[in-house]
Amino acid sequence: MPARAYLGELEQIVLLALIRLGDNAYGVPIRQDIEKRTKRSLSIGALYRTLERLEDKGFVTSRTGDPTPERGGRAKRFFRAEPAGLQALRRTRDALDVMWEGLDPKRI
Amino acid sequence: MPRKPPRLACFLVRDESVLGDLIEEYNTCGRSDAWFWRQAWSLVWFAGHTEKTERKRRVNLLSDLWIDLRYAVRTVEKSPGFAAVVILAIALGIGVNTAIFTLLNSLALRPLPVPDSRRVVGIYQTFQGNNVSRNINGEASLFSYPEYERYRDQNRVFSGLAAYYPFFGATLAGETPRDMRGELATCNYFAVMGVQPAMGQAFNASDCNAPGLFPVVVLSDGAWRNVFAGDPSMVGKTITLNRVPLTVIGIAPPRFHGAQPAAADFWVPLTMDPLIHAGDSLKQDNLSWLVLV
Repeated sequence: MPARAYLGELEQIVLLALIRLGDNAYGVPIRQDIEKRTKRSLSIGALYRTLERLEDKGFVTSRTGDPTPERGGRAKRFFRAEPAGLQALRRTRDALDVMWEGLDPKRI
Repeated sequence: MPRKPPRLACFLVRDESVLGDLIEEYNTCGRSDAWFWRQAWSLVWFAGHTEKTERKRRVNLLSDLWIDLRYAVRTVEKSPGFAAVVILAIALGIGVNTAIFTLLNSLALRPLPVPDSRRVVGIYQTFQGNNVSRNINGEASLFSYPEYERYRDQNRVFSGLAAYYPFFGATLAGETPRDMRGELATCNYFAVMGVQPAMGQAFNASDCNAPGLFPVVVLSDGAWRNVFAGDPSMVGKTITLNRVPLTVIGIAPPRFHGAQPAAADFWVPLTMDPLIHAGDSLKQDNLSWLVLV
């Protein structure tokens, strides 16, 4: 059962990045994808704190991959958005849409 | 050839897969050492942030405790009678527990205040059969004086065997007579216990060859200080216990107060029993009254 009905801004951004990256969603591409699209820097500390929070809520799961040489022999940790996470994402989007109804983003 | 990231910064990263992410990006994207440090510190910062939240939760617990305390005070003010009963019950409970622990501590936990106390043991005897009938002064496991003599003379196990009567109450003569609790002990008692008097001397085994011939007493440190005001010339003086004049020959060391939980005020040779105790206990083979060590 999720702790909160709606997701925070960074939670939504990270979940959307996971969906976009699919099977290749681990620390480096997630961070780079978010930085490229949002044009804002995201520290690895903030990213992992958000991922752990989403994992605690059951919105995300992770698995450990194989170690690779360019990582100093350290394994990747792949993340995947779970159905509960997708549902929370849709719920948050719906709530925002309802609140935006009748408002013009350019005129507020 | 992969570059080596700042080693100290690597120590800040606890998670191996996160460190792998940093090293991969450091090498493949040509990130600077400063970037690596910033990322490592961001992990420390966010970990600390989580701990701060935990601490805040603990502070809330403390404030909850304060609210509980204030509520307790208000309840006590509202019904003081009930509160008094509760407080009394708790106080009694604590008191009983303390008393039981004090007893257990003196009986079982605290070692005897004698040198090398592991070598001092108590002796018990068990009677087989149903026809045992004795004049019990305590219990059947206590010894009569003739029994003690036989055990002592045939002892090949212990370096010494002493006997004492631990429940000897006597009246000290003076301007204001005073009750004292002491022990009647065989003259090898202090030697068996390995205790040297702080002042004067103790009994010697040879002093007790005949009943009533050695009217002396060794005082405990507590009795010497409390009853005789720590008189430095106490040794050699005469005190009167149960109308029998006894010469003080020694003062026991401060920590020694006998082998019983209740502290003894004095020790008188067991052979003085017929005079000071007014009886013939020494001769009775059927009277259990002595403890053996």
